[in-house]
Amino acid sequence: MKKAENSKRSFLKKMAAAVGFVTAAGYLRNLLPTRAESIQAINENCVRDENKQKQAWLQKQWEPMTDSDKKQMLDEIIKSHDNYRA
Amino acid sequence: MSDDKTGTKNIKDDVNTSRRNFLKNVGVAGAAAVVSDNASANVPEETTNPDADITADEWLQGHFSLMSDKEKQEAIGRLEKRYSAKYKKKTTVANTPAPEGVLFGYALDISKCIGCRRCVHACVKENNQSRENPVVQWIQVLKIPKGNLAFKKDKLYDGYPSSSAMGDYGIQVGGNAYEPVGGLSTEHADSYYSDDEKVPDKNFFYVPVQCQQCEKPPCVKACPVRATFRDPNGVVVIDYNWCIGCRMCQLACPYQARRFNWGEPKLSAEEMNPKTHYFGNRPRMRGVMEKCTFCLQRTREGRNPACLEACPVGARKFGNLLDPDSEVRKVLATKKVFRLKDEMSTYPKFFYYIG
Repeated sequence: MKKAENSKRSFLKKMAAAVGFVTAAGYLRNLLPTRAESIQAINENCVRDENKQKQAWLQKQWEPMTDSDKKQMLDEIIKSHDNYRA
Repeated sequence: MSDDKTGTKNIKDDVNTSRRNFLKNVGVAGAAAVVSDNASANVPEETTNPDADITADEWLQGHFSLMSDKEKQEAIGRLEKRYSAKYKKKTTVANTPAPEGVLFGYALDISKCIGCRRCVHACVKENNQSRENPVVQWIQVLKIPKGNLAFKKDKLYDGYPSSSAMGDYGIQVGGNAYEPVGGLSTEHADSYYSDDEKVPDKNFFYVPVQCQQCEKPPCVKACPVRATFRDPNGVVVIDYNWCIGCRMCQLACPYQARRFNWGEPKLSAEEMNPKTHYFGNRPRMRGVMEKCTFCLQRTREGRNPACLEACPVGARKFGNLLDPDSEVRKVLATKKVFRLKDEMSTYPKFFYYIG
């Protein structure tokens, strides 16, 4: 009988520990950056992606290509295309 | 004594049984929670039609390019059934092959662009992009101060050589000395101007940017599962069902032209374009990457991209780079052409020019 009680007690102990663990994990999950769930978080992520694109374009200087630049570029593109096809 | 033993055994059995039952229940509840979580993340909330669900077959399908013709037909059939049920209209998912002997290129005249963003809206409409929460747009229009562009004629004879703290080396000051040499700087560019804003503003010019369809695309090299690849026409495409959403391609893209679906895209049935292509404008799901494909569903059928058709000033030109008589090749031959980040050696096939 005592053994059975012990077993029941130890089982309950384990259950309490498990519940505590799950609760703690749930709490920590909220603290850690995780998969975006709310609409606000989703929108913020999207805007951040677009801002990155804006940043990628900022402070860049474009220079017009010379005729030889253009020829080299076109040759390289067509050569690469041929390699893909081969 | 033996009764005691039997009693203990019974109690123990009871405890074991109850524990087993408890664990069973917990297991069932956990599985139900996981299933309902996945289901709510991937199935549209507004429909109760079971045909609108993503099926296990769709989850488990392989890379589209490696499928047999029969498997491709089955995959397309599943998608058509699902989209038709979800959007309540007959939806087709084409698998039109890439035309032979074509290498697509795009040219955009920045001296003509008025920044109206009709291209952006046409792209959203054609390519079934998410309309709200989140808003996904593949084209961004930069608004750049006109002063950033090359030399100013009126300042040509201003400025003079001067000495500096470094010594008397005749360093040019004044005039055009502080302007970019023969080019265009994107400094102070802005992409967030209101749709109600009157355009064009005479003090600015406008540069729409989208995927540059690099001939040597770093995004393709970065994809760990080859979900994104260059098609035979030089367009970089994505197998949305094979994409694992790791965002490595987004990180690799020097133009930041890729968009990630952070949430389930919001696309209403009325606004959905039912004429789709597997690698093109078919509705995407949460957790996958998407980007401009030069409107593959149109261009593979010999039509022009939607952004080009929407442009009211004819600033956009599209054509076959292998054909010397195509508009794009003529632009390359005769105009002042810019490429973005050409130092990255990605060989973009999207060119900007001044007409």
